[in-house]
Amino acid sequence: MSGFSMAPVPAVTKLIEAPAAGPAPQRSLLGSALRLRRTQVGIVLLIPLLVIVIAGPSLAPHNPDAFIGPAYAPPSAHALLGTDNLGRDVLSRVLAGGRNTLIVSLLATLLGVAVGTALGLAAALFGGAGGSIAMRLLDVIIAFPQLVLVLLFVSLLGSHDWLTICVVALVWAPQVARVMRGAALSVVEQDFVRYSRSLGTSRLQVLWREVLPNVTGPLSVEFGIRLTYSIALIAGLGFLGFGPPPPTPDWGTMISENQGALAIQPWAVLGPVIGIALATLATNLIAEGFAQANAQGGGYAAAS
Amino acid sequence: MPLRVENLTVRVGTTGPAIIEDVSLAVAPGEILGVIGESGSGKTTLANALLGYGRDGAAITAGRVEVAGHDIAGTPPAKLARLRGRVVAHVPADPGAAMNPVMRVGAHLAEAARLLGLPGRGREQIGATLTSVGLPADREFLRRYPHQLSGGQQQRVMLALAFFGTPPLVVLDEPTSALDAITQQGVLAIVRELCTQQRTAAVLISHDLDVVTAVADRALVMYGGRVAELGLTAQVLDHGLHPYTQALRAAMPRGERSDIVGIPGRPPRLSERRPGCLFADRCQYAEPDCHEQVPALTAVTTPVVTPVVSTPVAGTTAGPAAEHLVACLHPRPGTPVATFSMVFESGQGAGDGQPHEGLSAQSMCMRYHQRLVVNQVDLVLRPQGCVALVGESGSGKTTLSQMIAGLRVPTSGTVRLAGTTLASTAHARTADQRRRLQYVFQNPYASLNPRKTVRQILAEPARAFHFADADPAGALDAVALSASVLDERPSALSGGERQRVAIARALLCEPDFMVCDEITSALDVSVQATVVELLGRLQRERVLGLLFVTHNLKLAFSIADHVVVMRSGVVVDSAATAGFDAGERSDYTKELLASMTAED
Repeated sequence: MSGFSMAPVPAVTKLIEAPAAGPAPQRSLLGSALRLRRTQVGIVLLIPLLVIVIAGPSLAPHNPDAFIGPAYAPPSAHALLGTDNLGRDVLSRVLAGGRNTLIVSLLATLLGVAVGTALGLAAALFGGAGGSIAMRLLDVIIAFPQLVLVLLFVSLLGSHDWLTICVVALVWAPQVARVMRGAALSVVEQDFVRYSRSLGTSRLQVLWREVLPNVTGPLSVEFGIRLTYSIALIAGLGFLGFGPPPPTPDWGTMISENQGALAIQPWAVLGPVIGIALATLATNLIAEGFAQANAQGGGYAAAS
Repeated sequence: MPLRVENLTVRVGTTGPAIIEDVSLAVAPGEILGVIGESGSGKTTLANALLGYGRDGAAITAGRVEVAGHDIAGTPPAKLARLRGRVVAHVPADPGAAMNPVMRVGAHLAEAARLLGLPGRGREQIGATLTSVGLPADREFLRRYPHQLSGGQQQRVMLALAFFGTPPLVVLDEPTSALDAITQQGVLAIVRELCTQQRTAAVLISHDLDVVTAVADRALVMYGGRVAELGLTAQVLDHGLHPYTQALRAAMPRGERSDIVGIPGRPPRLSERRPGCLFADRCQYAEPDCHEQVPALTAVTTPVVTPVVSTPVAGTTAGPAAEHLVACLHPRPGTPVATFSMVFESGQGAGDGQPHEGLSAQSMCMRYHQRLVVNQVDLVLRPQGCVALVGESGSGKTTLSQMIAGLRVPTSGTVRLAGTTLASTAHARTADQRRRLQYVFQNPYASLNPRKTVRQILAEPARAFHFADADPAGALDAVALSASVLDERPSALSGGERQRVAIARALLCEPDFMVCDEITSALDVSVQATVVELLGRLQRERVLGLLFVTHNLKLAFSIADHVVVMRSGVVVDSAATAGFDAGERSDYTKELLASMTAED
């Protein structure tokens, strides 16, 4: 891009100038999302989470699995957030227990959004009876409550990270597919897609080159929302006892282990709760930032 | 005086750039003032200001708008709302969007009657008003919903609503731009009649010189938010002294095979307005002082002309209103000259002697929900020939052209290219056949991927046809665009520039035939002329056959050697352009031809 296109243009002028007129200030979706306060706050909140994912276990003052004192000991210099139901250091377990939840959530979301986007775009481009039937089949999956569906697989096949990733992805894929199909439907009818087809370009290439770049707005929004939900869902699995096997530290599992002593040693529950809250809040704020930036014209609608 | 505007300036914010600047005008009772301007000229802002309405962020910062004695700019919004309909009424460009889709025609009128406080729900007035706009006033019609009306009927209902309260001033914003030529004529005749009968002053905004010529007593040409020229319609349009008026006139297709001349460059955007005459950058007569000094609107003496529209505008012709005013430092009579001759080549091999050389479509049919939208159409396009396919919306012209290009699958019929029968979809045709027959879409805003740069867009043909030596910069040069746009995205380009990129993309395929579907309909007149000029040059230089789809019969005559008129899916006329109006024609074509001449 040349330099002038990034030149700041007063917002009022933009309102007045007709769509036909002149170079509108062109900013990428990422660029305009980053200018929004909520996105900035989200990113700031995300920093401690990234630290936990990258370096959490090595920052822990104690071995998260070691018994360092009596059960439910209140915070002290020895254990800053006190101890849990078995006398392990809460702070160390909070620092070490986020990595698994966050990485599994991220991978599940990536897989689910990728599969869902592929399905949605294909359904939009191929259309016809096949597309409709595929979407109705996906509706059947959507009809199941998410948690019930995940619990069904996990209770049948046992608790494994790969299984959690696949099942959560399976739960999201149809919902992502619906949204992406809707977004792509207006794009595949555009003349530039028909032009590309008329040159003999294969459908797969058309999807990749023409359609996908025009739905990055809804795609990034969808990714953010699904990531938020994944974190909550996977933490919920841990709470219900389908997290990693003990004694591995896990935020969801920690809440269920320590909930009985909420009155005596609240930090054993609050620690992981703050972690989960921070993660969902940060991802949600960023997702909303992208959604707003997209609605304000970073996306396809503004460019046409 | 129903309308008096003095030194009106509308700015963005209160200190931002002026959208319209120092506009003064007056309209007498029964008089129609036509305001002509291209997109960005400020004509719609002017219309809105007359209604006391400013767009987002725009405000009247200087001057005065006086409608029948009321100071519009100084009136508080609540009082202004009461004035609308009684003192000033508005007719919008798109009646379909202006009417409430869930309200019947009768309910629209009853609402107006209630707001005007007419006794007995204005039953009698409603009947009289509908009759005056040429609509039936019976119960059945009043019970119709807007979607049950044709575009012309919808616009007549809007006229009825506007003239209902017999306001002294009616503002019409592009009232016929959504209508086809024949309907447009009828609507304009009603406007003329109502203004004369009710002694209503009207301001009619249009980009189309023909519309203004047809009904306006006086014409005002706007450029860059300022008045360029103002005077009697014939004075301004036939003996215009401002180079922009002359250029605009020369850019209009005149309905015969002749040069139409584009205006180079494009109108200045708000942020680009510099001191001096705003047209100077595009003016072929510009002198150094034009770039420094803002020309004032000054009276000139012109050859005496009789008003084309003979109406009793008593007391106005003698007054200052009849003055011919021009804002140009160096006004001179004349018309701009073409930079190069633009007459299109006639196809080689006259007659249908060698149809195997060209592109032909036989017995094309398209059925859509039990309805034949294209019915048994034959079409022959010789190499380097130019056939214009003319029809109103819904005539099947676009469907036909897309079937030829392989973008739609015909119900039946065959397309042949140089003697070979083509498959029905472009995808099933051979790469070479796809390359030789290119299609340019109507809407340049939809035919270029907004996420790609011009360079990436122009790389598509090379990728599809495995050209090793594609020259995007050369193709841009052929369509008169600088190579500097290569790294721009379409959103940085104007409509005309985008359409030229789309043409460049088609040219890179080195086609033998190009199907151009209404490629100028989204463009301003001056830009349309440059695009048409360009096609003429390319057709000659590159031995290109053109199928030019258009709703504009005048445009068709000015570029094509053969005109095919379609209506309701069938060809009603097909003949060479030379002597087209002399031969035996269908009633529909006769009507089209009549509407063409009526506007001159």
